[in-house]
Amino acid sequence: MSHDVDLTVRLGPVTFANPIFTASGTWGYGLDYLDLVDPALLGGVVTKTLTVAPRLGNPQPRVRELDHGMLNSIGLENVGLDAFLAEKLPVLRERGVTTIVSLAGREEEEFAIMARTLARHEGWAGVELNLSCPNVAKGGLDFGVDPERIERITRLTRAALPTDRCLWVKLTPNVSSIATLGRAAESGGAHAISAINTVVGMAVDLERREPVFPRGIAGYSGPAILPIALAKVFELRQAVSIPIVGVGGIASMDDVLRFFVVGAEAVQVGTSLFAEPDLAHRVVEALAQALRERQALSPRSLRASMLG
Amino acid sequence: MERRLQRTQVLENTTVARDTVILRVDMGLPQLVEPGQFAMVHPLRAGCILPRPFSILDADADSLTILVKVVGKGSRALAALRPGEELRIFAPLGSSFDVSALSERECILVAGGVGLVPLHMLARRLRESAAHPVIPIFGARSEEDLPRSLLRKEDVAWRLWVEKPSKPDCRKGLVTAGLEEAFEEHPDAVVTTCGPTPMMRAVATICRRERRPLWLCLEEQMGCGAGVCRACVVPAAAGDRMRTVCKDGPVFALDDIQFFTTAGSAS
Repeated sequence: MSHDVDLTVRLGPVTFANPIFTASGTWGYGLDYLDLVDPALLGGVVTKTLTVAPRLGNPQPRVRELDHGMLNSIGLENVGLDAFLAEKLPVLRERGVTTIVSLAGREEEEFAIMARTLARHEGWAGVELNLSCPNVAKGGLDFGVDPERIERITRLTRAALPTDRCLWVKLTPNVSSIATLGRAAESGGAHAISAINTVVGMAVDLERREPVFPRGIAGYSGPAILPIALAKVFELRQAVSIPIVGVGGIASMDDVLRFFVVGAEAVQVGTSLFAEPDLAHRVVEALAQALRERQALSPRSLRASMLG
Repeated sequence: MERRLQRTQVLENTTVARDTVILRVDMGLPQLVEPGQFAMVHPLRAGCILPRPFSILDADADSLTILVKVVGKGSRALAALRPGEELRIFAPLGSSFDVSALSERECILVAGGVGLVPLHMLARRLRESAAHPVIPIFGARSEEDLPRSLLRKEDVAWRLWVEKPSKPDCRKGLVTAGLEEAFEEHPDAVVTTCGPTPMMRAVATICRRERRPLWLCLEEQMGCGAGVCRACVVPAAAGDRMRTVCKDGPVFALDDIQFFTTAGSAS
């Protein structure tokens, strides 16, 4: 067929084979299901968020399932950037996995410091800044709600990145205007925006008359947040001109296509991977056919007419 | 270990105690399942986001068997599945009791509630291979909670402890009383345990006092069963890292983890 579906997607300096990624924190470092699926077949893997030093994370309980989603309060438990570079990245590189490294810093400068450390290594395609993890007492959310800090951190990190790597900034929905945050990331030089991070939520134990999580709030994810994520992507699409990576609540191929309709260039599958670790792969396998059935030659051509 | 992730169907659903069923599902596993290993099971019902962990009771070339006690919406949905209805299984997962090492010693098994499942398989394996006595003890809240058909099986004589016994084969009290009694009879025996956390803490306290080696099969809420979501962590003994119950466990030696503190610590 001369005009077959084109799944490739260009986000800044990097062209990805397809627009399907795993979301940070939901698929480890991309190496936990090698016996089931080949991570190199994805558009890419966004790693669990890494910090300069390893973190043990929050006390139990860390996860609570609700009827339509789940709350988590993991607290950025991770092996630390150095251990990732020594133990995980060489394997990802050898296996040909397209890797986006998710980074979180306690101070503004730490994002750029980590980017410079990464720049001394090969085998990764870009970074995603986690500016909005609600589960950490210090930092995290503070960065993620302040447009000036977002712009500054984005600029500093962009300057530290090799020019052939892409920079994604992941935004929180827990603000009055995500468009303002998106414009800040764009001004700072982000190649793409990932939207959205988890929605702040709380579970309450009625017997104990206390919140379930010691920190009170937690991050809500899963199918319940799909409509919120779609609305935020739609809002961002009209506010910025850089590409948007849609994330939040995807549980099926139709959910993926909905993100394309509201203007996303790519998507990340997240919470549903806990139940179906092969879900992103099944979407990759079936995406071309799903687009053909809708007479669409690319994800982009599904975009709603009102978005122009 | 070769894991399989598949959508499959229920072959048999048998009620064995109050709110407790044995589900046999259509799933052949390529290798022998070891005692302690578990399956992540998803009922494919609306309102269930995450799969649930269940210890594997038995597995052969064609089927896998789990025990489901109704404690919430997921287990209720699973217990209601009829033959032919579908569910998703990811198995076998996790670490296991070292049958060959345990078979070299006298071994006391202390089970509570659904913690019976991994120790039931362990008791059967030890009976097959051990030249030494195996002393299995099971505690339940009441006699209605005893899965009698399981406890009679395979010629393993479980010592039963309940709060208010009415039948002569049950003793009155907690499993820990059974453990103290077994210690007196078997001064060199090692211990394995699986059950509710407060019960296992009590067992661990006694084993520390008596300086007996103890292996625990831990229960924890899980999201993925593969070490990915980090929901089910327990601090390593040195406190320098977290171990996952799903991947590093569920079976741990008491000395390898911080079992008496529940907390991690945010840094």
